[in-house]
Amino acid sequence: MIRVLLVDDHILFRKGLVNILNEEEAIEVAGEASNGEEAIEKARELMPDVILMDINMPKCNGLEATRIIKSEMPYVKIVMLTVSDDDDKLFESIKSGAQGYLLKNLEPEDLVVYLTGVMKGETPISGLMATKIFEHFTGGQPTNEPKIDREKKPLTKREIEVLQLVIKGATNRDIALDLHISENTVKNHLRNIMEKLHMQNRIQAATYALKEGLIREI
Amino acid sequence: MDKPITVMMTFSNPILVRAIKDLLGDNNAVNLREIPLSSVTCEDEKNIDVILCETEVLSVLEQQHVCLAPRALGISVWNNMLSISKGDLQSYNDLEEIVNYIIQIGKQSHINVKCEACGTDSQKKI
Repeated sequence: MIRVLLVDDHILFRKGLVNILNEEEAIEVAGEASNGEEAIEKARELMPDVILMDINMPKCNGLEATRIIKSEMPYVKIVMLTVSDDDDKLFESIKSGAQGYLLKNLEPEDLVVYLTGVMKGETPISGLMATKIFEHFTGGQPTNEPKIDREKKPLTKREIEVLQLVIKGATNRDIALDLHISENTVKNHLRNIMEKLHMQNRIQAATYALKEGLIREI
Repeated sequence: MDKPITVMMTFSNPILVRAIKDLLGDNNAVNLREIPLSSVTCEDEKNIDVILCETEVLSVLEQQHVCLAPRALGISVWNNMLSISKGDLQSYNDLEEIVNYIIQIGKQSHINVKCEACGTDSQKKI
């Protein structure tokens, strides 16, 4: 049974949540709070598994309440549930210790799935907010290649030869014949190359290697 | 017993829709129905006593369906505020206050008006 504390000053919304969650056998609404101060008190008293926390509330906002609750009860999972899709609030929530960030326009059944998931260690995040996180780390540029600088191990002479042939459109069999090695050896080389360059497939690896000057276009 | 008032809700927020259904669904004084905002026309004036919508939608109703606007009650997604089309905004502390507002709007008397936007003859509640 997942015991949930609902924190929201919006009465109508909070009551809607109570009714939705009370219908679930695996979830129990342990309590409700209408501001951050009350949330801290109720969290101490009820020791819930999960807190669904609004951000904009009187007295003490959801971010401050999250910081205090997480410092006292780090095991309590806090998921922000807000109408705000503001970047600052999202990142501030993560820094405050929130395990997830959901927008209030979600479907009731999705909320139940997210709550069940958070108890399994998942991170519930609304699609729009996940995009914001991704954009933050990729500098806002949509790309198929990782922008984060990760340590990339140098390629061997043989691996460069393999990539050189990949860029020409050669199949594994072509490469094997050209380099006088078995197809399995080619596969192993490609596997190593992808791992070294942190790429998902041979085309990505070859394109990256070309762009970075690791191989030459013929 | 009075005839139930017909309340149409146009919310796009699924949790708010659920909350309104829970609030009004079992109320015998209210006949609650859902309608997408895009489907609302001035012709609905004959069938609708109260329109429940998000606060931001009130101005759309005022511009596009003058005859229906006085029957609209805006409920904020952001906070505990209600507003009617005249621009009044007030907070509520209890869900019963919302119900009372809805019934009050639904039961107000009618006067005949012509919608300036669409030309439909209708009754306006005051």
